[in-house]
Amino acid sequence: MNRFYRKLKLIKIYFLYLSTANRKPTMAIQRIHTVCPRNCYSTCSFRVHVEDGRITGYSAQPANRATPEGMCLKGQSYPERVYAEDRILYPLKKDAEGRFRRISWPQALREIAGNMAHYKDRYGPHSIFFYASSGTSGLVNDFSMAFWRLFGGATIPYGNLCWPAGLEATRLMLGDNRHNVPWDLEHARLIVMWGKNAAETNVQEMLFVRKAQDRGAKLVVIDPRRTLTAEKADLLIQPRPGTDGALALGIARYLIENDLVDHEFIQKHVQGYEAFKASLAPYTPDHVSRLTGIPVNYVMKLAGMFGEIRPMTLIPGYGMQRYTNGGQTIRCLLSLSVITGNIGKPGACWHYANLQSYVFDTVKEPLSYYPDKKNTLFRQTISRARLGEDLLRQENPEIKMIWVERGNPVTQNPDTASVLKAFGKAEFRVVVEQFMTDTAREADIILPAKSMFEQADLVGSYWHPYIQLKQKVIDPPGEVKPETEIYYLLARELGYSKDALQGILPNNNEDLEDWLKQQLGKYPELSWEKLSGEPVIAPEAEEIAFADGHFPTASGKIELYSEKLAGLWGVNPLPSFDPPEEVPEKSEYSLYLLTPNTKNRIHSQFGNLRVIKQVDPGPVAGINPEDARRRGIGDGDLIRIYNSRGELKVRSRYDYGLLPGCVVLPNGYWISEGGGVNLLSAPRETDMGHGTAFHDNLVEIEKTI
Amino acid sequence: MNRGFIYDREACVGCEACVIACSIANEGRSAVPWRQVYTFNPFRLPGMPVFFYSLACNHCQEAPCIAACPAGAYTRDPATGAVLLNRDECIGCRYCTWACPYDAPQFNETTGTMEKCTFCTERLQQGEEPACVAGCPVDALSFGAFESEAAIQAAGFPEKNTVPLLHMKAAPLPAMPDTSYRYSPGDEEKPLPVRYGAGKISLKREWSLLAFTLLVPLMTGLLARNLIHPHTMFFLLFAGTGLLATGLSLLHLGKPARALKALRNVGHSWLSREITGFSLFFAIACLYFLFPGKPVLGLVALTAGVLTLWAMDQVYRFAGNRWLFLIHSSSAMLTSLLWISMAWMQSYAILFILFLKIALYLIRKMSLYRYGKIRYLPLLVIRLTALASAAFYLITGPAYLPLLFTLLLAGEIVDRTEFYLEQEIPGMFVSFGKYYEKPENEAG
Repeated sequence: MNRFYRKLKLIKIYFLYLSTANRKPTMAIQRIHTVCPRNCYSTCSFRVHVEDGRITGYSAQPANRATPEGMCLKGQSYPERVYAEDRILYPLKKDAEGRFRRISWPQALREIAGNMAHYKDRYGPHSIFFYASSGTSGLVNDFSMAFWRLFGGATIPYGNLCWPAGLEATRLMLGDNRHNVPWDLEHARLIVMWGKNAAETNVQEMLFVRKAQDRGAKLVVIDPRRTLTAEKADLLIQPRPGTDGALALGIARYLIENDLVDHEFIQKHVQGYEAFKASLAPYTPDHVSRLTGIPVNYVMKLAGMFGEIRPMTLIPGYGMQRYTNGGQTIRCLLSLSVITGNIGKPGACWHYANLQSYVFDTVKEPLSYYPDKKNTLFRQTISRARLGEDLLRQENPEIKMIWVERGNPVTQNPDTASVLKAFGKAEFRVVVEQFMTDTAREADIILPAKSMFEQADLVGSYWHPYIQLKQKVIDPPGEVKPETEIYYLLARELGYSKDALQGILPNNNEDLEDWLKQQLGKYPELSWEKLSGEPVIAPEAEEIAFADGHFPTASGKIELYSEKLAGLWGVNPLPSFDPPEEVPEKSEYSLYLLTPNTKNRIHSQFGNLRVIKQVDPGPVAGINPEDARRRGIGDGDLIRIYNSRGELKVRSRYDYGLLPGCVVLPNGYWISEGGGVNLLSAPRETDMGHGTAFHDNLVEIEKTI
Repeated sequence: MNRGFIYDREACVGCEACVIACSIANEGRSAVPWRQVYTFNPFRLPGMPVFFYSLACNHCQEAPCIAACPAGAYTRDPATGAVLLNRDECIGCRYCTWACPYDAPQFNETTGTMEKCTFCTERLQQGEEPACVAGCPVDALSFGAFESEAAIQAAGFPEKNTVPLLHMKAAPLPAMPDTSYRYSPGDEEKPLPVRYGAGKISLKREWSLLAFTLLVPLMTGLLARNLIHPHTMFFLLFAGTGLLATGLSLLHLGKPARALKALRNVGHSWLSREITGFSLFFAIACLYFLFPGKPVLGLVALTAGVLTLWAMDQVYRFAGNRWLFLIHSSSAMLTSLLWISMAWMQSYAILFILFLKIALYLIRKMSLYRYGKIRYLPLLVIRLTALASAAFYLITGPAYLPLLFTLLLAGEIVDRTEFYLEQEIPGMFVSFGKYYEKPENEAG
């Protein structure tokens, strides 16, 4: 017997030898585990290859079960992002002619500190507006606020551009924002991607969709566009934008009428079912068809699938909740998962956002988006959704200085005209950036920003349950300094002593990494050593969310009917449908402008890179040929897209799969490259959560030259 | 068993991560993408799927590029089986783009040479996958061993027997969703499912070739005329035309200084044969003019010239319209015979060729008409008028040579121009177009 085991061991060693011998790693290449910190579902793990202090490539990190095969095209483009010729590597100052000229760090810090001291002295710290957005995620970002706290406060925005309406809708119904792990999707028999185009915005999810389909699952896509994801679907339903809530209520009515609901689940876990049921009477298939534009037989077909196929995973996107009725739309959709009992089981979940890896946050989203009115240090009077308007309106004191980091508000916030005006009205603007974005162009001083490879950080994900360490793998090029260092030097310039900064701002990289290790100290399962090699699942993260049947709402049940919701936001306590604010019937503009994300960029990032331009040279507007021909527009014609708020000119592209009445122009293209969809969008908040309703946006188009 | 790319069309979502991974891995070496994702039905026509082929070089075992390259710049790497392009040998003639049905070689305007996928041979030798394979986030692209087939059978994919080192996983019919909204095209509209890429031959780019292929037959005529009626004028005309033709053909190259390398692959490449033939023809003819006492030199030169024109016609053998290269009305060799007959003033020979040309021209046009591809009606009219009036003129009266010549030349210019306009060298977009045109695949 012993001999047999010895033999087995020998064979094992031999195979081990074979597997390593075949790989033959080149000596000079280091492969360092890290994570992409962009504002994206996937939050991919990967191993970056470093040779002689230079990034030369990457390989996949199979230890991350959500992204085992590697990154999307944007991730692939990092070496260019880091070493691009047009990356900003030195502090720049705008001269009298409006040209940027290189200045030294001491000069930049002196001028900024001088202005800050002056404005604080003369108008108080609230005359300075500190704006940071989602350009890079991680814990280290907290040091920005630490600096401003030290400085004596500032004006900061509240709300969020992305997803709060849906987060708030989910929080108030389920009690928390979490869902099953991404790889559980393969257990679903029905996958409904409602307004999400995973093939472009979360490409690894398609791995699990495929696995589920191989096991016989059906995929339904609901989207006004025939997307890349729709191409893999069995059924594509194309509703009028902003009417998804009505469609969901129609399905709910059908399910209840045909007794296709999960009575046991409802009995045990749901509050307000009877009231909800009673509210559905008007949503007959005919009525729903009129509201949504979907033929009656397709409404029935879709409803039938919801009723008959289980388990179902419902995956809503974030676009639908950026309408003025966005929060309620999400509640309507969620009600379908609830009444069919598709929550808390393998293959069954409400797949909106999974915040289980955000263990370090003291205030979780969406509560962190609420303005803290009691905070005297930080004035929170400016909504991100109305950034330009609110900035211009701000008094007592007015905004004199603006500091922007991790964001490009000129391109990405609604109502670009007002944003530009507000930037113009301020006296002094500092932008921390890697590239000459539309916002950087507005700056008086640009400070060069670090890339993801130049400082360590801890990064969570809103899709998978991993906590990951982003490691420092190279030194910043040129004179780039991480924000922590910028703040430290600025604080010194402002007169704070080294001792005063002790424990508030890290002085060097060692300090910073010590602080990160200290954060990890709270969780024994998260060690720096372990995280250096692979992603680690967040402590207490559930593989199947809500499997224990515990819903952390006030009633402990799923609250279909929510008094709290009605009290907080003044909306119907039941999931209900109201049309969005802008509808063609009540407007002089007749086309919905859809501004989705594409695979080629994360909002306004990546599109400027040469390699990305190979596949995406610039903005093009998709239109249905029926709408185009009515306006005399041919494929490839230059068109003007306009409404009362603004206009822009792009080339047209016929899209026979696009629902008539829609124009598609992806967001994120810089104004300087002919894009800038927010020249057309309105500054409005969503119905709940302080989100941004910039998808409520009607336009007209015409041929131009 | 061979090792090569394995592509799973059903897993591919068209994300183009492979394209970027390739470009980044070849940073500093490439300004044009070596891997591309071709989209079928980018306009999303109803009743028709949208699907992708992610393609770099298939490193075919019967690689047409290796045979076609006149400079012999393509070689095979014995270790990996990769077809490699030596860019220091490339003359930038772009002939490999005609030979490759998968559009692998790409012309780089800045360097003046071709570029293409290297199979990441360095990575392969280190036991790593090619960069594009490593970069695929949905496991649609992999690298491994399989049994090569002569041609890939897949919807809209070029069916050429090149034995590609590519294994395709694809359902016979690409799936498409049942959709709640369906565009119904109006009567006035027949939408295109593919954005036809710029054709591999365009008159705008290939005008120098057009001129070259018109001038060389004329040169044979001039030489023949001189054999019968020696005259210095013919020599001057001949030499001038020859120099012009040489200049024009050099103009076409990305690397004119490397033109002599085009003589290397006479064994396999029709283009190399054409260039070599032309060089011999021109050189021997010049010798003959310099030593007028040796008409045998002239005859040898003339034979070389006619053979060159045969090679010239064969260069176009990659054309999709197969009947074109067998023999067609603007065949350079046929035209050369016409000019030689004229030089000899053999009315019956001229007439025979004229009627042959009329017949061939009509056959060609009828076949194009069947596919609805006659696009230049005025040219057709001019061509037929020129041919018919020349014939009529020959039959009815004593021929006034300059008039006859002018008529014939005008006709030849028109015919050759049409030949270029009609050329369709297969590539991905042509294959997509052909798949679309099959009635069973048409929009429902």
